[in-house]
Amino acid sequence: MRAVDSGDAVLVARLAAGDEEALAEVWQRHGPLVFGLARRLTGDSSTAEDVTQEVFVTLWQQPERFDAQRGSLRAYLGVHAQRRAIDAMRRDGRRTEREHRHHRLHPTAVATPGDSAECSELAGVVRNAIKKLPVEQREAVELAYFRGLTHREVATTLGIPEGTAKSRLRLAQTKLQTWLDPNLLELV
Amino acid sequence: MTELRRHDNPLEELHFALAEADAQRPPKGLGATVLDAALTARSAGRPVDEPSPISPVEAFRRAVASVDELLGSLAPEQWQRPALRNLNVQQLVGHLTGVERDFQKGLATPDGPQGDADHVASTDPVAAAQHGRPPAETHDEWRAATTESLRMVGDVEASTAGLAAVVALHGLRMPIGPLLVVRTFELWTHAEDIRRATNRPLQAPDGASLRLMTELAVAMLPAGMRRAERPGNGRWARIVLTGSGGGTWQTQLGTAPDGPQPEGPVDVRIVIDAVDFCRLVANRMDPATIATVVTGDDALAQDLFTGAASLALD
Repeated sequence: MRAVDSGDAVLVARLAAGDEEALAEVWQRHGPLVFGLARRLTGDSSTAEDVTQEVFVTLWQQPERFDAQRGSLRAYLGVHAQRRAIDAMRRDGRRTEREHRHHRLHPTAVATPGDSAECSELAGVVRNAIKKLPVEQREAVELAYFRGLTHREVATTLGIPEGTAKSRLRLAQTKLQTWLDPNLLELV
Repeated sequence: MTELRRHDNPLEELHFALAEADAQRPPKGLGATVLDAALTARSAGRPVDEPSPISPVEAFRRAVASVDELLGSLAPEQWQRPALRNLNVQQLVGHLTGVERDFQKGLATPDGPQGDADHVASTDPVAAAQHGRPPAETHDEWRAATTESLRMVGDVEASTAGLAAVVALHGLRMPIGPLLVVRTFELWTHAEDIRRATNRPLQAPDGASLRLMTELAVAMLPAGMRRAERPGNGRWARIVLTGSGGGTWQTQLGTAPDGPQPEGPVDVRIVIDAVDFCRLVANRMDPATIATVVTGDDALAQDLFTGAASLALD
């Protein structure tokens, strides 16, 4: 038998086939990100739990909406978490300055196929910015960004404590915010 | 470092790659709540694009129609192309006609001699008889045979016993319902043989037929493993068949030497494309080259694939 890459595409194919263990894996990998984003945006733990549930149930119900050719599952779930959180705030009548700011920055909340030349140019800008990072930070960002590893996996791959990996990624993030469009990289 | 994906929105990707540093541990119990809610919306094991179920008779009817259309598209010289074993396309169609005749004998006399007859040897005379005949005659003869099989199956379906009546055919002894799924499998497999022989693209069965095929193949795995002398000894496998007609099964591979065991931990997890799995079961795909994700006992996975391939009648 020939082993194939068991990345996001396989994970989502398993979801489509009704493999609930795959959903548990996605939860383990990305549950904290989705909940964390929802919690930050809504400022309310209970609403964040509802948002988190909605994001994962939608993924389970419509896994085919994720296209591994277009980006990582993490980014896909992150975008959906943001969108659902904003919907929830709107339902609650809590349009905040944060929401307005988000809409200025993300006029289309879900990733859409952009102009390919523009994306390609942007990818080059991002790549060059990452190259300018100190080597320890660059290694961590490359693993998280290019390889799609979770931060725990980044730590394991580099043989460093998870806290150190997160610290390096935070430092990198601060620099990248300065070099790239700071608004687009800020954490919600 | 190699980029593993094309970034649709590089800044967005970077944003979420870094955002995880601020991920928060979800409240205790939220994971279970989320999983429960998801499985209430769609049960575990059920594929997202589950086709409306069809009867085995309908699956067989569709397979017959598909082969009929394929044969109608063949140019005269393509009937002479080598197709399987020592048979050319025309002789392979003769083999199929022979199978229909034995199948009809089984429907008429469930415990007749066709029950123990060898699948290949029993049909060889019909295959050989095609030599020198116009292909159209071979095609017409096969079409007439399948029409008769469908008529007889329709009568059986309307009878009291229905498709639960047990029939013996070529070493198999099973109710007509699953036997029709085996026959559907067979027609699709030989249609693919003909497609390969005539350089046509392979064609997956429709989702509803494929679902019947995958369900039956998974259920028959323990028998295949016994036949291949690679018994599963009651170990557990989780089989995830991806794509249309797929699904997820957690199944025990035979029985443990010391008797039935309750469901225990899964020994091997296998993810494989549903159509590839069917080609494996039809012995048309080399287990060594098949693309899979295996987690757990690799040797057991190999035994399972070998057992799957041994289910083919050919």
